[in-house]
Amino acid sequence: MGALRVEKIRFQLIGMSAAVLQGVPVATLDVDLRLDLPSRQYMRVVNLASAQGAKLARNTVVELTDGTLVNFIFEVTGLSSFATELRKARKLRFNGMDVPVMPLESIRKSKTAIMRPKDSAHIHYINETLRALNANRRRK
Amino acid sequence: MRTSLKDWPKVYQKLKRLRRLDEHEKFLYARSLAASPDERWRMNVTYLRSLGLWGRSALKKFDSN
Repeated sequence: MGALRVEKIRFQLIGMSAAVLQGVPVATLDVDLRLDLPSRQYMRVVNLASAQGAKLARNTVVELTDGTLVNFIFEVTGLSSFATELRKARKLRFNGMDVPVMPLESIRKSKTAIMRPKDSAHIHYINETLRALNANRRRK
Repeated sequence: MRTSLKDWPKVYQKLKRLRRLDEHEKFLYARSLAASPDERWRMNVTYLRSLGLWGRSALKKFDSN
C-alpha cells in the first residue's frame, strides 16, 4: 500500500478484508484493493507489487512475501465511481498507515447486488456487526 | 473510544442485552469489536494459518477469486 501511495495510485480497501478490519468476525483469504485505475492498466500494479517481492498468483492476484494475497479490483458491482466511494471511506490505522476502508453499509450494498451463495452469509454477519456496534455505542 | 483486544470484557458488558445472539456469539462480537484493526487482521491470519489456509495454497483449495 505504501508503494501505491508513492506512485500516487489511489486505493481503497473493500470486500470482506475491509469488513474484518471493522470488526466483522469472519475469516477471509485475501485483501481486496480497489484501485483508481482502468482495468487495462492492471500490469502496472502487478509490476509494482513484483518490485516489492510479491509473486503473481492469478491475473490480478499477487502473494506478498508474508503470504498475504492481494486482489486488485478495478470495478465494483452495485456501487458508485471510485471517487464517490472514496469520499465515504473510513480511515483506519492498519499496518502503520491510515488506510481508506469501505464502510460496512457500502460493502453490504455491493454484496446485495452481486448475491453469490457466500454473500448472504456475509450480509448476515455485517448486519449483526452493525447491530452490535450500535449497542456498543449506545451503552457507553 | 479506541479499544484493544484486552478491553473485550467492557464491550461484552454492552452487548449482554443484545437480542438474537447467544452467549458464544456475544463473546465473539465483543472480542472482534474491542480489537484494533491490526489485532482483527492478526486474528484472521492466525485462524487461517491454523487451518493451513494461508497464502497461495488457499487459492488452490477454494479456487477463490
